[in-house]
Amino acid sequence: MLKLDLRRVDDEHLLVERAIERDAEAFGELYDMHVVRIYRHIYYLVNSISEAEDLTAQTFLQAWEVMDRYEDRGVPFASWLLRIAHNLAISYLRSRREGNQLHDGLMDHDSFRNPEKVTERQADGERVKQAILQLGHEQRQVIILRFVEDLEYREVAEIVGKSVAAVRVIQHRALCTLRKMMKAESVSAKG
Amino acid sequence: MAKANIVQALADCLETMRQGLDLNVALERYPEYSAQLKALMEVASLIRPLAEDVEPSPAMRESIWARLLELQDEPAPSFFHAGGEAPEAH
Repeated sequence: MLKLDLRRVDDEHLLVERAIERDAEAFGELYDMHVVRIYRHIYYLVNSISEAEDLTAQTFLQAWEVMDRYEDRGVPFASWLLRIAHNLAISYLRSRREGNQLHDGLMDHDSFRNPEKVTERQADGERVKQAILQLGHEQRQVIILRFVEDLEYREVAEIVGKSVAAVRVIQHRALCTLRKMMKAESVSAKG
Repeated sequence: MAKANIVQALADCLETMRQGLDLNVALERYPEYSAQLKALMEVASLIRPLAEDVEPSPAMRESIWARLLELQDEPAPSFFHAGGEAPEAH
């Protein structure tokens, strides 16, 4: 297992080096390795499939354009991509009023759900998902990076441009907010 | 040693959960926050499976790739693969 992981890291390192030298094929492989993660991250920020597709494409385009600025200083390539994605998504969100497209996102999200993955936890999962989509950008970002992307505090801090201590505080606030939202939703469903 | 606040206690418990270790052992370290921590950990445990819920299909990955090619405004030689095909999904 460790051997496989090391090989992957090694392969990625070589691909990144080749992409910096403008090797488009290597960049295509990097796209293939990271597109799911980048798309998912953006989707949870913008809550729209079409915008998530577009912003994912823009993320990779921008990455390609500035590949020569990437330096391997212990920050994984995925974190570098996520930072680009974060900046693009935040710019996009600032350019429109939050909530305008919430309805679109809620309408179309079922179209890409894999029916095989539907379980008895679906209802809770759906509730928490909708609650996450109502969080502010900062809290949403930290929650997705920590729990969906499973990143370390240090990596999250790097991406969102905050200290590790600040990320922990945001994480706490976000979980408290989610709990309150879910509790309120549960009470309202019963009433 | 200074007493941990709830933010630190939560970070510790979440890291324990992330590593798949016994959560009860972590919770016992913070009896004063036990109820709050349990409630927050429950919410956190619901979030993790969402990673599997939002995943672009191979068709969508190709669509993103196609969009990427559209966005490319550089002149020839063409961007990435000739013919604009998406790389194979692994």
